[in-house]
Amino acid sequence: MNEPDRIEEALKKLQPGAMPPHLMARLTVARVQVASRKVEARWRGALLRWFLPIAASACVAIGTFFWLERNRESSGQVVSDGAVEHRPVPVESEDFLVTARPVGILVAPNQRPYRIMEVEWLEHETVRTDAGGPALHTATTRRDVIPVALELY
Amino acid sequence: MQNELSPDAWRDWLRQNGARFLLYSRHQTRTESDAEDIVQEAIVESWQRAGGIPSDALVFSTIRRRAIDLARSGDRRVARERAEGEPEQEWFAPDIEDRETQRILADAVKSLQPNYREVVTLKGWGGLTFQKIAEITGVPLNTAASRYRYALEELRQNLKGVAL
Repeated sequence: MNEPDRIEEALKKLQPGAMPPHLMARLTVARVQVASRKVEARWRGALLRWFLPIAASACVAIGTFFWLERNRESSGQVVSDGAVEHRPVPVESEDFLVTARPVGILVAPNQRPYRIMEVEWLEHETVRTDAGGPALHTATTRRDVIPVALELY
Repeated sequence: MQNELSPDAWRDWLRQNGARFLLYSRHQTRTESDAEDIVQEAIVESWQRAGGIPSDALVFSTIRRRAIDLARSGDRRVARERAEGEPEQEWFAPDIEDRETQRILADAVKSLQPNYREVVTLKGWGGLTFQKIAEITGVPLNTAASRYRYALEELRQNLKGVAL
């Protein structure tokens, strides 16, 4: 037997020292740690296999829904923008004084007298779309209360 | 059945393999308490990673990685101080028939330079192939084999005149 083989044979006879009892006790307790982690790992596996894909799909679905909703609103906006483009614009406007009724007289802090008048206007307006088309006549009344300065001679 | 984690299976596996892992952990660390901590952490981690009984190579490589992490992060001065306060542990089981020769041989193994000692440990008591040893230690296959050969040569030189 040559020298290295003799050494190898001798090494084989050398056995590692046994684990000290306190380390064996620690490792025996550590089994629970391994077992609990295995349960955790099983949950993690289920989480990765089922919950996360479902959650991801749900997120995608919700995202898609909102994206579609926003696009629909945007396209609605385009239609209304189109409507704005063709919105009737006033082409003729005329106001008529219908009534003017004195309400009273008051003296302002600057000692100048003012007559308070209630006036009613009739507003005539002609509108037409800029793309042409028929004219539309509208008539609305408007009431104002206005101060009219009195001139004293 | 192999991967079941019953208390008996766990204890049997520890009895069968724990000493080899502790020996390697002792080679990789400076103190007995570090070796025990590392071996416990590595065994738990290996079981968790393997999802059952881990391969020897996985446990050895985990011990190695954790020992390196400890050496990098730990305060070496503190480790030395702890080592001074700890009783010296026998790395190898005493042989009743030839206690003195065994002690000389054990001392010779302990005095090998760390690279050689690591390969001898993984080969002799870890039962790993040079291929696995090369993977664990991160060296080429030929280097692992050479280190083993040099280690035996160094032992032969140091044990000249000792009747083995």
